[in-house]
Amino acid sequence: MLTAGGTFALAIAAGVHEVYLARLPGADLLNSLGNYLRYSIVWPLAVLVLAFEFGSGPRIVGMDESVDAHVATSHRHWLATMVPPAAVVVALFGIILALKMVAVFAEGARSPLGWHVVASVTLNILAPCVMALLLGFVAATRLKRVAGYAVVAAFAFLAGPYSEIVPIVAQAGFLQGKGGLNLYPLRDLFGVLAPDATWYVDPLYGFPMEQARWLLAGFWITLLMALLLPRLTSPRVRWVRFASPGLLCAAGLLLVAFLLPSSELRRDYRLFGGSSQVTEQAYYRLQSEAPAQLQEPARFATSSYEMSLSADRELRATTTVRIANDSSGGEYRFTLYHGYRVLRVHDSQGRPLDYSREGDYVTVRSAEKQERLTFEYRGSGGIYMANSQCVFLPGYFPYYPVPGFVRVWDDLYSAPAMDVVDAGAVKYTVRFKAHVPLVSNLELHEGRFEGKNAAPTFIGGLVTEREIAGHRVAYYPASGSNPEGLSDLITRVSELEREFDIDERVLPDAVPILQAPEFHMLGGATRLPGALLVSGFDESLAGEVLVAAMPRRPDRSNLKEAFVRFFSDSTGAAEASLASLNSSETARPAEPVPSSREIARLENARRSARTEWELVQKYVYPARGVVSRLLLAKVLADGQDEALRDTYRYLSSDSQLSEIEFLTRPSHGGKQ
Amino acid sequence: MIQVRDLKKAYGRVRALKGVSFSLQPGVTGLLGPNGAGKTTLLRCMLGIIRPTSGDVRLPDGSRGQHREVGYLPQRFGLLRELTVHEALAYFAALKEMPPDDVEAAIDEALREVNLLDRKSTQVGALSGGMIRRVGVAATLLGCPTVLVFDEPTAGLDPEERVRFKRLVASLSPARAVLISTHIVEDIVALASRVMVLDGGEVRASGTLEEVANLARGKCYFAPPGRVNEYSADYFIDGYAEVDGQSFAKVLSPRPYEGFTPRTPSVEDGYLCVTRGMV
Repeated sequence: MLTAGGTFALAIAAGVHEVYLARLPGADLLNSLGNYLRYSIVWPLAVLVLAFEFGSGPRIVGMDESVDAHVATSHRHWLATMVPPAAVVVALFGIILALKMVAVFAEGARSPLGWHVVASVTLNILAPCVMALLLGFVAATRLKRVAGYAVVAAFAFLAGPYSEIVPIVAQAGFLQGKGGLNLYPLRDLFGVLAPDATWYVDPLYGFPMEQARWLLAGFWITLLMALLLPRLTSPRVRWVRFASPGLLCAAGLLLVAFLLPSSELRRDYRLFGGSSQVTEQAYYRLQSEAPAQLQEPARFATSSYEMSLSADRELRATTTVRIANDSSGGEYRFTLYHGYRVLRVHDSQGRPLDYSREGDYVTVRSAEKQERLTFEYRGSGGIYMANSQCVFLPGYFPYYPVPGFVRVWDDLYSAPAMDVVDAGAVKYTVRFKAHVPLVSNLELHEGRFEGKNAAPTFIGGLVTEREIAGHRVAYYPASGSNPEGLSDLITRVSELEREFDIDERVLPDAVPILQAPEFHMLGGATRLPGALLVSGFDESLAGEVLVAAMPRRPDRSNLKEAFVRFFSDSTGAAEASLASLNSSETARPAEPVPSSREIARLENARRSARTEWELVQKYVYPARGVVSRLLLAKVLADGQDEALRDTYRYLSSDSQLSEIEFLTRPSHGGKQ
Repeated sequence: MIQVRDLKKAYGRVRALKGVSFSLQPGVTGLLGPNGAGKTTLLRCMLGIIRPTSGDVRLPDGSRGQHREVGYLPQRFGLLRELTVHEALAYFAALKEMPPDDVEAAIDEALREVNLLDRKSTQVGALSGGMIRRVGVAATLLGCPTVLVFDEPTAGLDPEERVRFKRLVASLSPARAVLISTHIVEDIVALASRVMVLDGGEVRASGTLEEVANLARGKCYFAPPGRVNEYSADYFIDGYAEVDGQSFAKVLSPRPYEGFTPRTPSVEDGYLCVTRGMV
């Protein structure tokens, strides 16, 4: 009673807290509702204890044998003992689901979040509790008390988050380029709870509900049912004789399906082909055998792509690329992310072609010129993913064979490179089979995504599309993302374009604005040919859009960051700082400016840096505050409009001045 | 009433039953055997709690397991402490699939037979071990079974409860077939009319008490206790007795030694002769 009562009280308290968090102004609904996902071990553990206690109670007092002697009816006894913990499971599921749904409906976010929450509570709460219920009874009918509680402890460890320490430690040698022991597959068998629930819930991905985990839950439930069924059914029922072997066969099939190769876990920290930034860093930086990143233009052009993509447990793709202006000499070089295994490359006649693979680079060799090349490949992305729950394939990521060798990884930022080979728009025809609704910067016609583009982007998951001020806008309502103010922001960008005398539109009319999960983004906005990727729709977006098309230059990154901050809020931090400075330090307006000694030291550090890495370490990080203060001083001295216009021009120019030199030179307001 | 034919049970390489056959008739039959002889395995196989490796068991109505025709009191019997005696018995009545209309009368009748009718509303937690065992007997009596099977029914009871329990079993209708499994010969002598001796998974002897006792005829002697160590080791000291003010060792031996005086064999002597391989 105490355990059940405590469990209910905890479930209600957790649910009410989630509703409260969801109702806070500006709350992220998805993360509020995922708040207690990290404690999801509590419910199955409580159910396991209850099931074991109820199941073993009659045996402990010595009632079991006299019950079991009623061969024809003893199943009723065991069913009866299962009823209270089973009722607890149902009530728990009901309480948790109801409270989450209250929050969902109160926020007006119904479909698809409603179904997403139902599915999540089913997989992440109900399924582990059912497993715990069955496991508790299997243990109760077979084990003594001490052994039974050893099972409880083993369940808590194996299913809980702490057991990951074992494979993490075991793979340590891998980081140094040595061999490591991959214990993850073993641990995966017990991964019935939501993985990495300590992280924030990705607004596009939603709660973790990977297909493999459904299969795993099915495996454990059928296996435990097979063990328990003879106890729970009358021997008079003939089909029971076949049910247990049948369930065992089903469990076996589910296990095989679960073990099929793929890595579709969100933010998977295993270094053996997992999917996270950490995995990618391990691959590109720490593994000595990782091939170098290359940049080599293709000696051919591509005129069209026909792609057939399928996002299931992993991405499966057949891509046909039409070759033009071929001066390759029979050696066709492409970039394709290393996580995708090339199964076959063939020509327009279907004849297989010889190819070699080195990391992200594929070279296809052919004695004769080819008009079309078809690549068949499948696999998982480390950061950019396409699985049953989420698709995020931005145009700068080589999820299809990109002509030439391009950088996939930016070592300097330890992040994906966002280089787009803009060799002119190419025609794309894409059939994309996915379990989630898809949004793209290509147009959807009769089930195909089509259009001329240089960076075809696909986003799928908890995403919604609507039109705002002539732009197709994709955003995530489940996380509270709201593009209502986008219209004003677009107007503001247009004004800035005029104020700053920008010739080329930074936000062309009708360009799709696609919200990308913040986790994937380096900055607040990324300009792709034919799309603008943004991380959100707050007021800093205007500034982000202005700098989005500028190349990544570490020596100007501080100024770019300080520049964007001025747009973060109309009455925001920068102006507040200004007001504060103006009110308290009007007598000493030079006070916010760093000393010339400090500036000289930073400039020396910048000049002495031999590599970009050194530049970042010696200059970029230490100069962040100084640059911010210098820009503030410039704003104070020149006026905000003039200072920002001047700064924008500098940032978008090829000026040889360093950012500090620019900020400390006498103002003249003219062009660079 | 119960027919057991060539019953075998193996646990891996251990053969717990090696082909046991017997038929159970009305009256009390004792199943004697040392610990590990296979008594409990035999009863569990008979009642269908465990599946025998081979062999056949026929219960009165041709079915398996405990039901209205068969009542079974296991060696380890207990009840949930929270239940009242009435609730516990009603639970077993449901397991026996008794018609609901008959349950109340059957509970009263069973409690009357075990002399616990006044404890009908008492919680199990408030009963002594002996009383709980009697409630167990009442549970076996529900539905007026024609066969009762008791596994070590007096184990763990204090002397007073043992006497009471024996009286209870003796009072059960002689029309029933009662099988009592035990290693306490004294209980069998007090209750049973027939005995089966099970040893090493086999029935080594069976018959009336007298027939089993007679298995030791010609092998029972009194020996002067001070000299027992002088004899060779092919005998067994079964205890000590005082005859005409003199103390003697009760000895089982295939032949008399000097100083041995013949004595009348008991069931225990017969049982020991069987289990010692002297028959």
